[in-house]
Amino acid sequence: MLTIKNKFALVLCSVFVQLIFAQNQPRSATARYLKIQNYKTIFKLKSINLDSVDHRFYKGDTLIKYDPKPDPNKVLVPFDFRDSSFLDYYVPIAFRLSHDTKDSLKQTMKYWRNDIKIYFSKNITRGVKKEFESFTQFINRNVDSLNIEIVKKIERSNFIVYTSDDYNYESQLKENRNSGYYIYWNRDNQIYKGAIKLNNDEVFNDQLKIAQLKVRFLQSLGHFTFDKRLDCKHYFSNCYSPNKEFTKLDLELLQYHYSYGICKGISLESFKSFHEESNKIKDRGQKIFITHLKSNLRKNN
Amino acid sequence: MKNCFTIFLICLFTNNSSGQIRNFYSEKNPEKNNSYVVLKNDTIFSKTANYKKVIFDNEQDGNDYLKAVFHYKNAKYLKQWKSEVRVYLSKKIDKKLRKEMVHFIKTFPRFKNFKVSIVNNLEMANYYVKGTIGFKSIFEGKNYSEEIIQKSLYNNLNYRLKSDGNGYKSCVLSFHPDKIYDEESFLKKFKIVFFITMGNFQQNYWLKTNSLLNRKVDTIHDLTKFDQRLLRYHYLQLYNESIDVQTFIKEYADYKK
Repeated sequence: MLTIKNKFALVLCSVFVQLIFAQNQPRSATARYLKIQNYKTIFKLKSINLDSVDHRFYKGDTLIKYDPKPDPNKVLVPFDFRDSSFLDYYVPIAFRLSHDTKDSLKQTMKYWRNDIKIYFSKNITRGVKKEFESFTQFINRNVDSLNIEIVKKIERSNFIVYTSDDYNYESQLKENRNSGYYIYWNRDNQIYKGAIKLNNDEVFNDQLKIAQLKVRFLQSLGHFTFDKRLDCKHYFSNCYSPNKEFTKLDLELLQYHYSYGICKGISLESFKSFHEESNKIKDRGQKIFITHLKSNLRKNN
Repeated sequence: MKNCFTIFLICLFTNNSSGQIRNFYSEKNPEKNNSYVVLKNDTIFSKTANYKKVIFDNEQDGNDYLKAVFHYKNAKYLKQWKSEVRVYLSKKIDKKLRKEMVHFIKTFPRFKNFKVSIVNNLEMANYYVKGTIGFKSIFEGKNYSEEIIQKSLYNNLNYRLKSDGNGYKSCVLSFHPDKIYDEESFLKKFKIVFFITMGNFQQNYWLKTNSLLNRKVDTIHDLTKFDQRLLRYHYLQLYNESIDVQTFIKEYADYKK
């Protein structure tokens, strides 16, 4: 049974437009324009007097000239386009959709912003630790913007793995007779703390513990819900298999969730509108980028 | 607001559409259909599974199978073990009783998708038969007559079957080793409960066939022919998705003509 503290966050993503003039000339001059709605959001304006700003009308949109000074602390990352058949799986998993109701649009995706530092309680055996560590190393190697490490001091940790025979580190799991996880997230939907409890009555040997630990940990990386349409061998399948494997689809779902090429922590409504918008832009033969603070790009940079 | 500017979606409008987003299939892509998922590096993944029809030997088998699998509300969906059931019997179990249990477990048929075996190491097991003095009866603290308690399968037996989706991953079947006052009666109950846990089967009064699950027949002490067929039908294939009775009848059930 999962019990999660529910907090919603707002992360602002804005669309910038860069128009190229003098298309037939060898060197093109460019100017950036911002959609009027996004311009208002960024500069916290209730209204804009179009006579006082450089603006253009472009394919039904009103664009306001936006000319910020180049920020050395930011980098551009290409927007991570995905096929609708892939998003058909990603969206229910990341946004925990069970029914296509109006409320589902308010659902938000959760992610770890900082490194995950895992502490094992004393009753977690060496075999479980070793196997789990190789699982986390696989994730580290293959997923950008996600870094998992094992720590020996509890004070350094933000994630605890313990058994029902240990001190009950997570009070929210105290009454839980089953194994489970509990995570906390802030207003920006960034997960900052978590725990997994393994119930020894239920997972009574190392093999069962390892299998349970891997599945629950993966789930805790984004408060994911598992998909019953997937074959049982997938980690993201809502179906037990003793032989789970990180399939290409599993890996890509996780990679996409932690990709720098998408907006994170947003609602489904925002996610959908971004994709609709980005598809229109793409169909017009244009490129889309996401800006990130350099300090956020910790791995491979 | 400190994180508000960490992410912006930026659109660069250019005339040059070449070399933009690689490997993107549009909706018009003729290769695309519902059987595939398009991944970033053009990988396609089949998401369809082909299931066979379960051909029952006769209509009665089919009807009794449905009663045994879907009869009660707590059995809305068909459930299965997705791996070999590896049973470990705790050392605290009386030798004679243990021998009987092992004998019974070894009478289970083996199919491609269903096997039961005994293991000598708890580390290898996913099914733990546990004699424990910490056993807590479901009747503890409740007001039931002694007759009802003694008649119940669960007066000194309890089990915890753990599943993910429609697949069982482990089971702990526990009892109090010092509270077995009638070994024969206990063993019979053990056999029924053990069989139940092989697929969340339902004991009921409406079965027409002799079975450990048939509540009307009190003289059965081992797996019957029907019980063996029931396992064969149940484990003809492993299902990925949750299947309710309507789906089963509509999509999977058929009879020998």
